[in-house]
Amino acid sequence: MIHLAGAVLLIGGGLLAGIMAEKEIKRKVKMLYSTIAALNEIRGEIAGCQTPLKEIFYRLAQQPGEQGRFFAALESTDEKPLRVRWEESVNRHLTKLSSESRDVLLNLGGGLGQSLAEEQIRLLEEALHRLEDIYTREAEQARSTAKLWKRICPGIAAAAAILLM
Amino acid sequence: MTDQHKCFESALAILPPGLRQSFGGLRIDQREQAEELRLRTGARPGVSIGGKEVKVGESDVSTSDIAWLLERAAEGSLHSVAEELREGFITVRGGHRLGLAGTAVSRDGRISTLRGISSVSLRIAREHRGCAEELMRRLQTTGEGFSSTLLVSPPGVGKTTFLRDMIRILSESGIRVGVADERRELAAMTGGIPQFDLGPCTDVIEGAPKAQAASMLLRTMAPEVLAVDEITAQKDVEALEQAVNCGIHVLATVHGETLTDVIQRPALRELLSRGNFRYAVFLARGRENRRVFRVERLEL
Repeated sequence: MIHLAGAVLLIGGGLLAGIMAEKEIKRKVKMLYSTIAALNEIRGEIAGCQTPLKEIFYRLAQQPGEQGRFFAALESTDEKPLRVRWEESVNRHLTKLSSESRDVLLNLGGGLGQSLAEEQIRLLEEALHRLEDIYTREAEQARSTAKLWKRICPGIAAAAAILLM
Repeated sequence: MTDQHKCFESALAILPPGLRQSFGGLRIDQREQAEELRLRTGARPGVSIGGKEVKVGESDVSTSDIAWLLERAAEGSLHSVAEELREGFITVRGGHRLGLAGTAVSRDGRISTLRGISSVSLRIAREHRGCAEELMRRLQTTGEGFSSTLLVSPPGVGKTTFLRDMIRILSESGIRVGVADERRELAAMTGGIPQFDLGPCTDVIEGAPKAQAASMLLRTMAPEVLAVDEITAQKDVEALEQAVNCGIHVLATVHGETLTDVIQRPALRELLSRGNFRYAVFLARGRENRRVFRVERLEL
């Protein structure tokens, strides 16, 4: 009886671990998706109204979670140039993104706000293009990896349960 | 800290820390009288007091100092000050005007922007409450109330400061004043709140070309007086005439030293010859850097 209960617990734990792993993988992809959406908004504001970045960042900072915290950190009133604040904020708040995605963002931060609208839009479109490619790849990988973990974890747990019994 | 000292400190705040230190040795009276901060790449920083430039600090201004300053002035968004760059200046927080000199980029025969900024001049915006009290008394001695007035002086003498105080005085007396603040120096709005006191009955449109702002004010805000700083273009003149034709008094400033300077410009000559202004006020520097004025009733 005890063995059966233990087996059930093990398998349940394995299922849960699989679900958590799937969620974590999907969360990373979701963060990249919302980063792309934010950059699209910045691009639209500059193209449409030449809105100052400060105003755009303030609005984006109202989002929940790490995205909001990323943009809130850019509103700092210290005297560091924007590219330094951007870099610090990427490294502090967007750690869940892959290093490839973070490199694209760090590269963008080096030029954001430093030139006229045409050039800003060009930089943003270049970054968006690269991030969208990364997203397509990572979303597909995430789907297959998540499926795998959802099968492996309970499987391992079941095997462990059988061995122990 | 006096108000004048505070104006100086607010202008200093946008400089890089190293350059701020260069101006740290100025006495309190020098800070209160400083008119412009002058930064040129490869030269020591300077401060203009009483029309004369005095060098300060030991180190030369570097290209990275200018880049830092430009980023601060544009608040990290150069694209949002494109129009101002085209005009060769940026108005910064506090209403101070940052004049720029560098390499002009032309497109279709017009300057599209400035790049490679090599020198800047930060004109310190000051509020001298009461500086125009005596002038306003002189202008209204006939008992007719305020009549259209043109303020004339060379650059840097204080037209904008006087204009600001005249707007405040009119507004405090209950007169509705509409202000077309194209260069954002009169009100210096931050978050929709004017940084300078323009009085309780004043409506401001800032950042828009004067002629368009004036039209909008006439259509929607029913001003009794329309105030405009630095008439230069024909369109500005047409906007003022439109106001006068609507029975609205006008308060405007123009560069020049004498009436001859003013009427040498065809657009302004036309404006004056039609009797659109009752008075011309000539501002000048007097002894001990005080401002003096002369009022002339126009009978053109």
